[in-house]
Amino acid sequence: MHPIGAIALAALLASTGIAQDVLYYKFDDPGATPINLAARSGIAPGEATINSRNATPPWVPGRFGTAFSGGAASTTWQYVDTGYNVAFQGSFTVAFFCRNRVPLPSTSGAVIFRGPGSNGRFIADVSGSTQDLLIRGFGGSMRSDGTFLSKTMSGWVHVALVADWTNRVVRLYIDGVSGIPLPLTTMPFVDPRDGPLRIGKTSSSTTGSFDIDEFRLTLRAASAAEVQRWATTDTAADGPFGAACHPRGRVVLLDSNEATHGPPAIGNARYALELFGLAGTDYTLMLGTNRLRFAGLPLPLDLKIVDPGLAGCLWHTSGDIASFTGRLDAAGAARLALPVPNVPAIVGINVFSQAVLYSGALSRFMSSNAFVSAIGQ
Amino acid sequence: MIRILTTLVVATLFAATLEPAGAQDVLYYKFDAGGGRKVVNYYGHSGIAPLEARLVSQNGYANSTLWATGNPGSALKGSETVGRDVTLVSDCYPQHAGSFTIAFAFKNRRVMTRPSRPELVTAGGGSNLNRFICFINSQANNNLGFEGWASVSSPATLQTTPDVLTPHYSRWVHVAAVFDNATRSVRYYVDGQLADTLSMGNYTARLQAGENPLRIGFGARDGSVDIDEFRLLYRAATASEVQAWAQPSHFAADGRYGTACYPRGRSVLLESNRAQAGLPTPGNGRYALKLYGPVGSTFQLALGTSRTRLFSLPLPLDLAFVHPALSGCVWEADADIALLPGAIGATGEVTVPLPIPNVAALAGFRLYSQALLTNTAINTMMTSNGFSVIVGR
Repeated sequence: MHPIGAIALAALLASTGIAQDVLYYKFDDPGATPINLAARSGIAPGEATINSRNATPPWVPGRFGTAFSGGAASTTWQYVDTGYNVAFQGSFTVAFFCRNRVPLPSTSGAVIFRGPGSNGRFIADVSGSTQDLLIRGFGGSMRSDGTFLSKTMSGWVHVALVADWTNRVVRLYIDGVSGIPLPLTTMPFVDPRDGPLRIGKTSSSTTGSFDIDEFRLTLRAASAAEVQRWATTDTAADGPFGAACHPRGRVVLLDSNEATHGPPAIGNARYALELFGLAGTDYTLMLGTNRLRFAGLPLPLDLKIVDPGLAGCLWHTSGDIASFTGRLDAAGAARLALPVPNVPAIVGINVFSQAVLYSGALSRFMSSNAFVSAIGQ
Repeated sequence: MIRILTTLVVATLFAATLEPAGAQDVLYYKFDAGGGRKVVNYYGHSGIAPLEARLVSQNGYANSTLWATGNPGSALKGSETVGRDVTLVSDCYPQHAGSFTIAFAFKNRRVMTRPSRPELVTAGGGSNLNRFICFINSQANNNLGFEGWASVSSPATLQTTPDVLTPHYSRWVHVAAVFDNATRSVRYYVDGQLADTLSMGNYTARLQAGENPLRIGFGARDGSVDIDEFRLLYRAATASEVQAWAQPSHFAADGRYGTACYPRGRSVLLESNRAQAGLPTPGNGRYALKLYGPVGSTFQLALGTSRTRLFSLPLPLDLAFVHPALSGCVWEADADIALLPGAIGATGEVTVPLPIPNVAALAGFRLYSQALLTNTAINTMMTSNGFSVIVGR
């Protein structure tokens, strides 16, 4: 094989995403199910669901863009069900912005995230009594000081818990600044029987109502610089969601060149979308600003309107930015350059893309997965 | 007309991907490789459980001591010595609420010298509520017992009546337990014959394992129990099905194993046309292998009688020696029958006919295959998964 081929293959095989990232919700897509921008790793589902018993919309202005709202009244609940059965051991990092809008009486508390089970229960909650944040259920625990609650009442606070098993230490960062580290004496472990991780107000029996933004879970110890960046920057990210529709043994994939050229950050002139499928297949790739409506029709839209054979295949983009048609080359690929201008004003914009394909060789339509490019820094 | 034809083709393709038959079939281990530490799950095509299981041995068992003569073919070997045993780890975490069937053949080769409770099948962990166990109760009357089968913690144990050990010492016996929520009963079969019917009372069956995957052969503390032809289905099997399973004859089966190796955005898949043509039974002239891959790829399809050696080389084999870019891609099929070259056409697939002669003596014949592909358009080499074919009735 030609050396270039070897390099290309190695790069492609290595480009399966950052294997240790599990969850990343920016919550910047109000009105639709939250997209997990860390789904490339294949560990957690690409989309979460919202479980709500609340009259208020689950979206509020966030630290960056919009955020998930924990609701208001004490008799309601509103949470994001990640669909990810938390099960890991070793180093990990969990990070998020939070803000509280409902005063906590000293007799109550508020949950920020937790699993529904009772085995170890990986949980972060705030106490109305001690007014601190406690994250526990990973084989250890970490507590903030008693000023945490008052800070969250006056604005967004960034929290990052970094459990570093390599160096046997756990750190809690508040707004990018680490408190006093504690020794880790046992390897962090989260019991898989805890069930799917839920983010937000999971019960009507707790009072507080925390809004959550930029939630991340990664199975490695984040560096101090990373945490600092997360606490101060609207970071660029992208990722697939939805499901592709294709016959057995074939593949249709819409992805970006993020692994080789980075995320859709402003100034990244080399950013591009890549569509893979059967060589010689014709395609239409559409880019849109939202995934709520397409030509007046609510999304997601069943593609049986295109062809009966696509019944059950879902369309996810408004397609109101641009539409590109073409044919996949002999390598079964097409590349759409999307250089991101170095204009800070476009930070926070989401671009949703998806392709419908027609193969003359197979005499059938197919559709790709959908893809979101969240422009950031 | 073209539109109608297109629709029909699409509908056919969709139907082919659904494989409705056997959609509730979960595990079928024939243990017919007779070597190595991996076992193909011939119900893997349903997508419920992993395609392969692992054999794990304690206290230094070598590969050669993991296998016994089976019923038929080879089987999972029981322990030779107390405290030394072989376990199949399915990597399947059952999460099923509803009827189910568990069936297998076993042979105890050593008289149990003390009260013992060999656990033949376990799943889950912790309390009985979370742990399914199928065990022989040699502490009492050598019957077969089940724990952790119900939707609630009580009744924790369900015990069949017949002695399955004494009358069947040192011979193969086939047992099947059908947990049927429709009749709220457990039908228990020995050698294909209904031997006991137990009431579930007000409870319903379920199999749930969060902590540990289903394992077979774990905890054979005293007896030496070989196991063969293990099946798990998420449905109540019929009496005729159980009767057929109990016959000591080779059953036709095929299934994928191993992992394909290809770049992002492409796909390589080796399988059979069983959805259209059925299983590899003698006389099935339509049986074929199907290889899917990037258009224009050339391939070499290896067909062999073993998955533990390639001529004189032990398998699995890291293909880094072929090219550094194939590092981590594993080869798992012999090529002592044939090495078939070809190319993948514009539809991204090729069919390799493999008609099975109508010769009864072929029953039990094993064929292992895998493909190595080269594509100049993407300038890369790829490998397919392995595919196992067992000819039988």
